[in-house]
Amino acid sequence: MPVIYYVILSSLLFCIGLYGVLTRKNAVAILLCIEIMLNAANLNIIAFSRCWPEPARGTIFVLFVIGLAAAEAAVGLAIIISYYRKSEAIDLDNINLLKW
Amino acid sequence: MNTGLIRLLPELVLCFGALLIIFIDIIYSDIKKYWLGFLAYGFTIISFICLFILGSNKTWLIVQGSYAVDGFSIFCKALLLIAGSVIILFSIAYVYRGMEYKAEFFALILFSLMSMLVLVSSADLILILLAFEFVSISSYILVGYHRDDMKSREASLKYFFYGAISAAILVMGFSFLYGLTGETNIYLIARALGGKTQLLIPDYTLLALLGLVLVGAGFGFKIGMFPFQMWIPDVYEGAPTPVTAFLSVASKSAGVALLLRFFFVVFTNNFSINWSIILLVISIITMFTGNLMAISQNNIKRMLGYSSIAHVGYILAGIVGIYHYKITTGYTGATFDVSPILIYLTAYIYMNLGAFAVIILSEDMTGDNIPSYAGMSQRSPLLAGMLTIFMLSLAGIPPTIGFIGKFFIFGELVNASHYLLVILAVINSIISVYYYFRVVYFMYFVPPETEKKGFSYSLLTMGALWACFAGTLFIGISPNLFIELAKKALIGIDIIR
Repeated sequence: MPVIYYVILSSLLFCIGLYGVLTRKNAVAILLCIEIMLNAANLNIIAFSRCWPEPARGTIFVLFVIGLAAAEAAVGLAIIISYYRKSEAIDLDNINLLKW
Repeated sequence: MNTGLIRLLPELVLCFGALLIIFIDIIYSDIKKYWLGFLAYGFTIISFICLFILGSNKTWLIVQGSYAVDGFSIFCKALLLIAGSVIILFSIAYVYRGMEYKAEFFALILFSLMSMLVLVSSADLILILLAFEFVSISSYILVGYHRDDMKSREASLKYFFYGAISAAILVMGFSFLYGLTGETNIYLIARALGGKTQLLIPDYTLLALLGLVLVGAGFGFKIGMFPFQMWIPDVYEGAPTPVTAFLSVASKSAGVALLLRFFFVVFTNNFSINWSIILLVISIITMFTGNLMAISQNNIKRMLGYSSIAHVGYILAGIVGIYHYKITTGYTGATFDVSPILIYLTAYIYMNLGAFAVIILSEDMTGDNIPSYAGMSQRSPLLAGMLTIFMLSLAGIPPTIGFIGKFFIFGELVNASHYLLVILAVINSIISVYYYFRVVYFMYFVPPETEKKGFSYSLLTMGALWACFAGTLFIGISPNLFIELAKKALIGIDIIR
């Protein structure tokens, strides 16, 4: 299959993730949308890596990105929990102490 | 064994220091925590000495060419280590006054500093991504360090979301660059884009443009360039003050250094798309956003946040100047002279650190609001005088270091005959005088609400403050020595390998 189909798919996934980030109000849902964006990029890298004589380079890149996403999700969930414990809400509409 | 690996010593020292602090805290849990602060300070000094000993004008490409140690990265690392050590001095007293998990704070600062040193040297997409995220993740934790403070937690949450989105955008941009060229090393990507090796498709405009825009957006989040500057004021206001200083000085300088290396290596040599026009527009909007929004601020940390956005605007204008100079003169040499931007960064680091030192010292007595600085000149003449000098410097008025920085950036723009941009930048500097001098006005011409004196001059913070003050004034009055040093260090980015 030509690589362009994969690129279109991953671009769509990326846009879905970005749309979710911009419209969702729940903090955990936003975190999931960010994961979708990261995985769209992973799919892109893997698809591209098949076009080159050394596909291992792209695979290693993706492995690093997966590990990085896990680390980011761990810290992010910790921050969300610490926020939730005090304010009993993770709705971003209520996060308005700091503005302008 | 490759002898080049010894060049990693400054980073390794910092990493070892951070781990050692955590271990000592676990094993001797009843140790006085300020000793750990001194230990952290000591490790930054050792790292600085290692950097100094290993420093040379030669370019070393180690770890399979993915780690570049050259004059540019050594100069940036020296700046970052100076900023880091000064911030550790601030934090010792601050952390001791009331913060949980004191040891981990210093360890996190050291880890973050180490990853910034890696960031300015890395020349490989994977390494750039990892270092970039390492800086971000440790900063998220540092921003939310006051867990009982509503503002701090909120700032941490906002910073995390903006940072995570920027990381995702950055990975997407990298994926297009990788797909187009099949390489992850930025020098090899540049060679491929220059037509030296085969590309995925012969007409690379669309994919390269996607990569350029997405990578620019990812980096733009980190340095706070328009339209990705929204997080800066919120995070600066909510974070503990030493962390605010750390973000605004070290994190931003590392981001600018990364941007310089990446854009000048990948998107300049034999690259047909002229991105300077995009950057020109962005730099103008960034300057105006920062300066106009800063006018109405009442919180001094928030005001400095907007002012740091404006400073990024000047730096971007300098990048446009350098790029344009290269295009108009048809320069084809192997090295790019970026010394104006590095001089500006040095100035920015000194004066901003000084301003934050005064804020930390007077925070207990005055709070963060600018009107509560009323009558500082009577309550503490020393701090008021120093803050006045730093505000003069931030506004770019001689004889301070801020003037020297602006002078070089504007000079570069005149060289590239970008007169419109010079005029707009000067107008911006004039706007900025208003809000910087609002602080001075309150300190000197408004009577104090309370006669309370008794500022607690922590000895360490005072020492750091005097160092910033001396740097701001001394380099401002006689810049020759410093400029000789900067030129001698061959602060250029090698764009061809």
